[in-house]
Amino acid sequence: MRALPFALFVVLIAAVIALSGCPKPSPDAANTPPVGPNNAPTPKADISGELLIYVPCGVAGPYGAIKDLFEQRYPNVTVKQDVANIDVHTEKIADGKGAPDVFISLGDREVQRIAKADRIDGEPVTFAYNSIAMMVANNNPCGIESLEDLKKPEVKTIAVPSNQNSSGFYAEQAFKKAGVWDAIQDKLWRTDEPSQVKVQLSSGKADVGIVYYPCTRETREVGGKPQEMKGKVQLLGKIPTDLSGPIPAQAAVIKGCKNPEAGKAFLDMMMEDEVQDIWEKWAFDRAKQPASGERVTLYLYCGAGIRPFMDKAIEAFCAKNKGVRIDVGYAGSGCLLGQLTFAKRGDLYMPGEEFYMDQARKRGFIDGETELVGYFEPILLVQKGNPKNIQKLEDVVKPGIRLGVGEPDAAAIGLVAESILTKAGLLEQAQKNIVMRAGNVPELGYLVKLKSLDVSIVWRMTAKEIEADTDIVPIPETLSPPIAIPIGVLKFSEHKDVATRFVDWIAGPEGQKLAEESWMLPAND
Amino acid sequence: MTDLKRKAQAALFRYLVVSSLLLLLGFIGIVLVAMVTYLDAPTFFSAVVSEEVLFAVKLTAVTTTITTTLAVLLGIPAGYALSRYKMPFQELVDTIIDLPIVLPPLVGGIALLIFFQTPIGVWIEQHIMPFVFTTQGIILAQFVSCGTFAVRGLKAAFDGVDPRMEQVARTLGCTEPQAFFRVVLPLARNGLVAGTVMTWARAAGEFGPILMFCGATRFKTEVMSIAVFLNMSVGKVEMAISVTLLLVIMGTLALFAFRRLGGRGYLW
Repeated sequence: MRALPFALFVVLIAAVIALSGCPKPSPDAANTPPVGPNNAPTPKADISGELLIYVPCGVAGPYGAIKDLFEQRYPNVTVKQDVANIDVHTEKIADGKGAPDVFISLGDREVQRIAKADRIDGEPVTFAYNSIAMMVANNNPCGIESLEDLKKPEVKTIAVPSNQNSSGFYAEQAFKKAGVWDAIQDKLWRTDEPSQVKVQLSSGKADVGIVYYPCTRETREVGGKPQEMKGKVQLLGKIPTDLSGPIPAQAAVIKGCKNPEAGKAFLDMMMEDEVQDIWEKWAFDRAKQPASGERVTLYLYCGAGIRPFMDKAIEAFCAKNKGVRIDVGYAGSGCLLGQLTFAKRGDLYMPGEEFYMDQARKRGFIDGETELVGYFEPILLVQKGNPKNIQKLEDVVKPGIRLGVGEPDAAAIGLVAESILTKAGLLEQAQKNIVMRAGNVPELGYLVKLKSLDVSIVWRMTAKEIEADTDIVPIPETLSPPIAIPIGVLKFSEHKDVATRFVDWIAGPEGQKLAEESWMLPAND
Repeated sequence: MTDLKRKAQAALFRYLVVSSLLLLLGFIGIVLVAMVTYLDAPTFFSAVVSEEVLFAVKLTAVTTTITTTLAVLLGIPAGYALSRYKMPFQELVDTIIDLPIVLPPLVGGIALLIFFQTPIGVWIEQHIMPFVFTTQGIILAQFVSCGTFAVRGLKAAFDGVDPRMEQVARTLGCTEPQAFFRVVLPLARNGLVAGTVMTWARAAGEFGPILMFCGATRFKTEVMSIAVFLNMSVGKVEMAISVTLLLVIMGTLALFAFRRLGGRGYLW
């Protein structure tokens, strides 16, 4: 009998030890050490004077942001720039008519030309990788889907910069590798001025044009924001870099310039994480991955309805940004707001509606501006094959239809459903058919899938996940303006730089592409 | 009262009692059967061997075992104290112990979040280990309600042991600890097993406090209840139901095993 308590103790301890062989909760999972060594060198205080930079007009936007950083660090230096077409700059330098302290190029061909003229001081720096894209007139009249399609007889003229220019040179590589180069010889229209490609396209003189991929976001204004393409042309797609090869975007200090020291400091800064982030934001590929010592875990509060998109987005982002890990807590947007109010930690908040973001902003939780990730589009979700024959919104008030909507207080979808029904003058009649008021969107989706509801008002994205078991009936846009989905950095965040990088990425071209694939409306439409 | 009437009354009574039991069994049975029929075997098995579900099962097993162990180690002495000793403010103590059961589960999680904003909480996270939004936080979240469950269940077991037994043991020469270990504990065994079982079951089904305090994060705080929630959020109904069914199966096995062990006295 004496052994009893001891035996009990042993059994319990044994149980704990036996199970501790399973994945043990790691104590540092959430609290990773702060960002690794700061790779910003201490500024040399003795740099001063004027710094003249030749900036190709396509990169006026990123240049503006980098200039701001440089001026902050070297307040004694006055930075001036000459913004013009790159062919103009290249020629000026090669001919010895211009000697800026720094020459920024979009590729390496131009720099090689200047090097041949022996005008480079030291080694050029590859600060990012550029890529090229195909552009067509709006709505793609020739129906071009691939490089192969350029052989089609409908395609009469292809505008390509000359091979003096990096975009033209690497386009040739891509055409050759894709095996279409010989077939399109007669269609080529070459130019020494890459900016003419867009002009040819919009005036209808060319069917296809080759431009730098980042040009699709370009602004001509120093310090401007990334733009979306407007007008008569549209981006068809990036030409894969395995065809064209990655294009090294280079910069160099020019021989005989007035302030080589400031120029070299500028080139050094180009390789820092913060500047690399800027290039990435403007659709260039980084030349240098974030310092390998960097290990950051971000915590994102994300509305449960956005999960289908967010899982994919995080996977793609973390694949590119080694060392960054993003833990997501999924729940209803309102629940998350409560959570972050009490927890006072975390890095990012992404609710399913502006309403919740406003609340967070009012409580002072949001740091700086928020970005739009995309829009939710409300639709009617019906069972597979539409057995109740619901063809339009009016049909949801037919007798005997089991309608599910969101609870307006708890979920964005509830507010939206109410406004749609009100606008259509159906709210009163619909009441008798509403058999379910759900606290979140996914619930409304799977209740239709489980055939517990005949129809529910959900987001198109909700329907994507249960596509095989349900059908969609659209709601006219006049009744249902799309709902914006914002994301913001939290003021508690200890890794605001990385969090901001994620926000920029998700609101940028790659994030937007994923948004579209998840059946959201991209933010820039 | 005639003999016949008496028999009729007894029959009616038994009929009512048994039919209530059958009704309850039938109700639970129907719910389970409905769930099972939604799935086909291949879907269920492919879900069960998926990486995500295996992770959730392991994490649930580890966390519930640790939580239950802690709750029972604390609950046995605490339950004994509540059962045997007259304390000042007895009712107040009882009430406080019971509070976590009446708290809505989400609030339990919020309370923990708030606690870790206090200086003590901050000190613990800095010097011992972080809890908020972490895997180890799950144990704390489960413990909020499981602690109460353990104390309640184990106290009931000690209540069922006649204090006279202890007194007799003491008059026969046992010290107080000896009387506890040699007499009370063996006599209360079945009740203690039942209390432990209930505590474990509660921990395994816990959801609200974990959602709030640890967040629903894939492959990190994804115990089985959170896995159900996360899968529902992407419309993977089959996956969610598979996990639920697995939880039911695990629960059945564990409850059954505990009962058998307790009944035969193999546990201690």
